[in-house]
Amino acid sequence: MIATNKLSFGYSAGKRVLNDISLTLGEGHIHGLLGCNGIGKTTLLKIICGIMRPNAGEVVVDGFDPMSRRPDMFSEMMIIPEEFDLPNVSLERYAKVTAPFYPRFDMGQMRGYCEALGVNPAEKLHAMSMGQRKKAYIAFALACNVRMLLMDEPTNGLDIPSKSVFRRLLAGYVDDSRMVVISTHQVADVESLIDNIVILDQQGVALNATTAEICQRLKFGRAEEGDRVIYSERTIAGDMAVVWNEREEESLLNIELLFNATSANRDAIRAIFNM
Amino acid sequence: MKKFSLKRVVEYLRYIYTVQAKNYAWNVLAMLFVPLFFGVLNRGGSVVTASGMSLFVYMVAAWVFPVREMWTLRQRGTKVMAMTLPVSTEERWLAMLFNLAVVFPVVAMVTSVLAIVVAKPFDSLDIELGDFVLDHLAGFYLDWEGYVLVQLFASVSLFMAAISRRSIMLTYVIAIVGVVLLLYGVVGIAVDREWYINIEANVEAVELAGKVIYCLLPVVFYVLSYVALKRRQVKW
Repeated sequence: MIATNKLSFGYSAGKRVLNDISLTLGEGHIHGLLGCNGIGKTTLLKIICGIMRPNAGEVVVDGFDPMSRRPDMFSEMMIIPEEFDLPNVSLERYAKVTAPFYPRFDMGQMRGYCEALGVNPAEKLHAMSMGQRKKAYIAFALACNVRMLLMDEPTNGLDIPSKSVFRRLLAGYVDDSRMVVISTHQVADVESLIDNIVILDQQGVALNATTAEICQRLKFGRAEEGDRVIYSERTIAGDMAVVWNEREEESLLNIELLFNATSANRDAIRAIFNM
Repeated sequence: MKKFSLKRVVEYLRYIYTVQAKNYAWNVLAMLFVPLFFGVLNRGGSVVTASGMSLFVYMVAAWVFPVREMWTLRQRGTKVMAMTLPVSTEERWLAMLFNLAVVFPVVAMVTSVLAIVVAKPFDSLDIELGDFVLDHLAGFYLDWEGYVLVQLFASVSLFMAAISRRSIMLTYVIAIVGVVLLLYGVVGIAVDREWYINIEANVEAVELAGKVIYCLLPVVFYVLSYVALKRRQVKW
């Protein structure tokens, strides 16, 4: 479990990016970390990994402070950064020297993931395109079978077929003992995957709720007579709205609409979710 | 899982040698070919030139190698992955220490001997190779004072790479200016207040103290590097 309590961080005294972040991310979920550019999503992931020290507040990962850099904690956690450099060796060679640090790494599983994503694990990583390299690292990360997998914009650079394979692999990855945290702007790529949504804004955590809770309390689509509208916007398909789901009707979650509603009417959304 | 494991240090070394293979190879090749190149150019003393240049390259490498050790931890593209690798700071530091205190001097010795041996056929002077190589090694590489000097350079360089935030060069400039000002201040105060050490009266004690301080300095800087790694790594 990952928990933060009143966490704040700024790169300099005048530039605070995270403000009073208190949230709990539990196993058995794929958490979607959403927020505008520069709001601190990547910074939050780095703080969770113990790469950055918060200015105030605390982070607890599996009962430990990530700054303590315990190998047992890191062997259960992996981060896929948005941009990264890999050495000029084959993925198989890379996996061979990195696998000893991850007790549940499975080479056969990695080869299977590579096949599904269309990557040759015997090919040198520098001979691959950026997208292929990302797929290769995703295959490696999934095969490490860590309990906490953090991903920063994982679908950036992936082609359209690979995005659907990625969704399928990730859906099969999560069980009751594992969690995935995805920080992304490409909500459409992971909309069907995410089952807990965390929206960050300048004041802190604007929303932290499961998709089931969201659909129970909010309705997405056209507003009807008598609906209490929280937010609406004009689209090509007509006026779309987020309304109180007082009649407990079923609707399909629209993350983009939810995000805009939270940005425009933060207090109403927080009140609905008792935050 | 234990917080410290020697097995994990060995696995970390294996990992580092794989992901940094190209960079290490370039450094080793430079240590071999730079002395060899100058040795071959100077036909009337190829062996002597190769020997001298290999010493010079060894000194330069003592500053460069430690920066290489910190490379994956500081570089933008590798930093996040390197720092989240399940290795404790103690294990990482011990691996660096092994590379700098054992592997690096051995590699320097082997490359310098190779450069001298390969330069020999180009030398117009008739020098007995075996004796020359033995003198060359005994003169610095196998001499304790030479080893301590190299370790002093390496430990200071590692410390600087560990405490630098963005630019290592800028940290060096600040450190050099700081040391010069400090010395200037100390000398000024000493002259002003008539502090002096009567070296002639205490020659043995001063020499012993000098040797002890000389040996302790690399240890102090290596320990400081560990502290910096433990506390400041998040600041890069």
